[in-house]
Amino acid sequence: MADKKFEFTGKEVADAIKLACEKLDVPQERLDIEVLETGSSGIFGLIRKKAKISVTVKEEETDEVPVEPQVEAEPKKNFRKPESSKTGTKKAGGRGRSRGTEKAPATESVEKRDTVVPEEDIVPVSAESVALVQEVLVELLEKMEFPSTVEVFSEGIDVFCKITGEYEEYLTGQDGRTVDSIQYILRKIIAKKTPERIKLSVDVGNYRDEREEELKQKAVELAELVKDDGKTQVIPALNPSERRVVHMVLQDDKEIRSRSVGDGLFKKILIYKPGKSKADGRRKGFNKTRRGKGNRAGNSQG
Amino acid sequence: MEQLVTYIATSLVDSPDQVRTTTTEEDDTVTVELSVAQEDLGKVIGKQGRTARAMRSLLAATASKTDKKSRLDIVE
Repeated sequence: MADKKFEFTGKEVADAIKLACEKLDVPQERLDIEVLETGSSGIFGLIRKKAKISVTVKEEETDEVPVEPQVEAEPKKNFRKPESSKTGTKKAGGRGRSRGTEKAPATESVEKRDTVVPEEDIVPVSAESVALVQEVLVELLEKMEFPSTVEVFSEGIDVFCKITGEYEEYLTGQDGRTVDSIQYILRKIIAKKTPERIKLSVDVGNYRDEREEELKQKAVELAELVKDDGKTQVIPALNPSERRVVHMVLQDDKEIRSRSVGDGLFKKILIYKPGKSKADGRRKGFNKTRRGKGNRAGNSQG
Repeated sequence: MEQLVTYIATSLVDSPDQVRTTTTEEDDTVTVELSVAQEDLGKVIGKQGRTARAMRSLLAATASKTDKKSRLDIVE
């Protein structure tokens, strides 16, 4: 690597990186960042330290380093990556990102997580597997004593199953819990029976579409409320795909932000005005005083 | 309902021949006991109990058809 090193300081590593990008006029992906000192807001704002990084501008690299070893996230501040303090939740930063290593190529942050399988690995699902899905689902529904019509069709690695019949209400369940369970169990069974990579989804009647529409509507309504009075609104207990729908629909609205909080599969979504209620959604322990100067002694006690 | 549990369990485990289920019914509650080979316990329980939870919700759906309650016990 033909490299020239630059050093930057900032209140936090993230700030230093931002500064580096601005000064050098390079996207963060092309910076090789070495954290010399992580900033520290100190205890009650007393022992403040500035963050210091050293960066090198990389040549365009095509061959990326495979997944780096994941070091257990330690509560030690030296091991915190800037992203983790930005998102506020420990988990969000911990998955699929390199941490604990001193050198942190920023290249593998977001894109890396989504591309689990390289393009060339996409093999359309075989007809046998489609038939297998159909057979297993029909049998499962029979065993549940809800015999129904099952339509299965595939597209690339996606396989869609649609259940119709007189038991749709039972098979949807409250908030789609039953259909989600069917989908989960079916995925497990199919994964066990075939080595093929299949993205399976199960729908009962038009439940998925209706639910999506309903969520979108709710999200937009709540967003309006937030814009009106600035109070943070919450949609409780959404599963990942449902959260995705909400985030997507709110993404383009610059006046409000949305984020997921909570642990486990079902998280809630907060819709809030940026600036104001950021601290509301943040978990208390992670409340870093990033903004503002001076003594914030009272702040971290939340 | 026992059949349902048996079907799911045998489809998920490595030793389907060791899957045993028994059903007891008391008032309006149907209890299905499931036992599998020691090594397969994790498969029927799943990460964070997710598989077990999914099985329970399928059972609950079936039971609700006849206005009953259901229980799934996984026994060692």
